[in-house]
Amino acid sequence: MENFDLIIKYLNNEANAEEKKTFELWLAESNENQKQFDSLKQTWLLSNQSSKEIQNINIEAEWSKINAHLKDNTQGKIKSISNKTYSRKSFLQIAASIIILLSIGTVLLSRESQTSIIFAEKGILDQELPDGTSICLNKNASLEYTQEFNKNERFVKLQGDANFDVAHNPEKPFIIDAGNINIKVLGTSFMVHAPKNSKYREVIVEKGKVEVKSKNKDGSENKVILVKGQKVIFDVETNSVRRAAIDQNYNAWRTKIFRFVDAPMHLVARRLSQAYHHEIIIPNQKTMNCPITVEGNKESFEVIIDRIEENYNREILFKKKSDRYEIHGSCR
Amino acid sequence: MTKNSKNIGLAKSEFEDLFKTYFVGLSAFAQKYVKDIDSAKEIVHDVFVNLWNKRATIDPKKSLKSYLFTAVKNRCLNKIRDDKKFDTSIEDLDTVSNQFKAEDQDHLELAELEQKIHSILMQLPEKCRAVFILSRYEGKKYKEISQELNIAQKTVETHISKALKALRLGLGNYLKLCITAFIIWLNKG
Repeated sequence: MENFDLIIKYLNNEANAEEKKTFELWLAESNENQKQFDSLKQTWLLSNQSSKEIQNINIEAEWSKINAHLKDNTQGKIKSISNKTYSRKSFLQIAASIIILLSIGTVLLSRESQTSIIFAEKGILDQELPDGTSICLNKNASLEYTQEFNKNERFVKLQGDANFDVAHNPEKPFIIDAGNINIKVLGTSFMVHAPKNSKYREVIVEKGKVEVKSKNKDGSENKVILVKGQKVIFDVETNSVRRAAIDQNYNAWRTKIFRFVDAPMHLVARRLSQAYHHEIIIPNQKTMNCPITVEGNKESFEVIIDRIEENYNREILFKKKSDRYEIHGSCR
Repeated sequence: MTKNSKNIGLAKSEFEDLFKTYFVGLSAFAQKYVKDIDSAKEIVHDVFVNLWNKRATIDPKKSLKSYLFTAVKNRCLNKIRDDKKFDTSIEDLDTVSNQFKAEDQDHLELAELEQKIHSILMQLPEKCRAVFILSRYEGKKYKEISQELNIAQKTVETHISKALKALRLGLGNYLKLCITAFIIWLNKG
């Protein structure tokens, strides 16, 4: 259709005076021409019902993005922390499972070309390391390793919260640098928690065995070996290490399910902070130790804090201050 | 129906097809609710990741299209509700969901049209597609486009014609099936 270009120019309002005249003459010539114009106009109008954001979507790029987030488990099993099945790893002879919770404070973002960084920018991220170890990073956590990884040892730097399921290899020890402490895996798989801006480093062992190394104030080295059911807390400010009892809610950051019975407020606050990514401050020392009983089952942060306030007759209040929350109040 | 593990479960390749088929339509649909394109795409990503995590229980023979659109819509409504401050009352929630019911079908049809347009345009040579998008969706004049891309204005005209021809061909059936009233409405505008 020779007049196609002309019609489109007219529709796009790009026709000059002469072209407009030609077009109008053509249009008036016959009903057939009018029909052609109407049909083309319909397409033209329809095509306008979209936007550049949608039409510029690059499907291959979006697929690559999501592909990186998918766990490639050929049997399609959903891994749960307590009932771990190692079907896809059985050939690696995983002997034990260690779960460590660790708190880390500084962001490490190395841009050297030989360093790989896994950064969970948008939310919980599952990834696999070159040695077959699988990790689960909480939002904003990052893991860094160089190309030396898996040569003689497996060394990584962690900031944020993470679970590790370490592939068994006694020839190449798996070591995590978590800022102020190093964790060496003596068993096979473990979990590490490391929230940002926290002055605590927390290590919890669920199954297996780990060695936690730290430096005392006088520079001497401190080594602690943890086995199943043991927990250690490293205080960054005082450089001290102390053993503590495990609270069953260390997994709440991942499951959003928790149950506190007379738990101290600072612990509840820490777990809520890990799970919902809000900074929570307790200005008053007395409020810190208030015993709190509350349960949560995959609910939103607002619902939970409302529940706590309700349970304590509004004598405990969560106040929102710009980008963080403050807990005020007292308890009997 | 007996559960045979060979008959259910979504393979990676099937999942990939599903993703590539519906991603644009779902994003266009989500954008009608959440307005911001990045939030819209993120919601669609989340829905697919969730589907992947449940893949062992999915029957690939059943159509997942309505599941996907419903899941996206629900997440959009949740996001809208969460973005409002914490003191949203239960009453407000009901109002939000009821208001949308009437518009959902329109949004769905429009999103499907956008998906169709996207797939037609994707088959054009890259330059042709780019020129058409600049003209149609960024409202740029032929002269601007020819300057921006350093091509002759006649070339711009040719590209746009080619794109519209492809759209007319591809949307042909679409026109006949369900858009007549829609077009009458557009013509009035």
